[in-house]
Amino acid sequence: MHIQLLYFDGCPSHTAALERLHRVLAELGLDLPVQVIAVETDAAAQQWQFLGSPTIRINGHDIDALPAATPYALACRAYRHPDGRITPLPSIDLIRTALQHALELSHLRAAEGSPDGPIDGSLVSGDTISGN
Amino acid sequence: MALTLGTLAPDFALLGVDGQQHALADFADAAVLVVIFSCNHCPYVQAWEDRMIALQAAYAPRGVQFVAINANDAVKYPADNFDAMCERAARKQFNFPYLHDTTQEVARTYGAQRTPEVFVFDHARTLAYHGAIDDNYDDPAAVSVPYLRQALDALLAGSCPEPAQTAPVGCTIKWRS
Repeated sequence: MHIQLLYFDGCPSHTAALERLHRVLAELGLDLPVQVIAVETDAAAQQWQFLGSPTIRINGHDIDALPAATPYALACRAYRHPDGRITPLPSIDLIRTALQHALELSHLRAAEGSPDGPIDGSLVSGDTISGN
Repeated sequence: MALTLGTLAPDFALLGVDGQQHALADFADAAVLVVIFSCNHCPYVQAWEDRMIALQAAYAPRGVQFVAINANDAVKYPADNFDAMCERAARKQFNFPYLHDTTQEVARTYGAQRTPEVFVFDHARTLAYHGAIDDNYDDPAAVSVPYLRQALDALLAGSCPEPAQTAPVGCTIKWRS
């Protein structure tokens, strides 16, 4: 499973989002690296198809669906609590649901004999890639 | 760098979503003036917005006036353009003026860096509190220190806010390049 957290330094919530991600990974017993990517320029936002900070992707899939018209930009990202309130942080439940879904897909594919996509183990939490 | 405590409120004259120009002198009757650098698109603003509205409603009878100013570059962030401001103010039924700082000069003069970022001025219009609205953007029920409410209570009681300064938490203001 390939997990990425993309962030823009102008939004302070990415540290808390990474903590939540690690917490859920530990809860689920998953010892997996997280590729942490700093998106630093408008060009990088386009290149990474960055919908705002923080963004979490599992096997390339965003954990939260956004309207197709959402622009790529160096901006903070809005999530919703179950009661509809806006928050700059993805909820524990949202992260857990996405990871569980990816796990189920991975098991299904393993049963069918096909891999679930590239696994990049060369980067771990705390690594930063300049998004230029 | 943001205004230092004790500084007189810099003047402004900005267009509001009501179609009127609003200047600092228009709020001369307010016992306390709360200037909040805000915007439409930032999720931190959206998370705190209902609390801003509730605080204005609660403190208006005691002479507290809120003013929100959006200085974001509306070219790169169209969700923050004037039409969108009008739409948001109407939808959320803002009970305070929402002004557009198109040149960003007011935000620069105040030294604002984030949205939301609060500047509270006392009756003499000197800066008495600067910083965040409270200490929990994510959950209003989990706020342990309601900084802005405390500052308003202190000023209305004739004393100084404590703390008088906190770190503003939110999106960076989107400056024009």
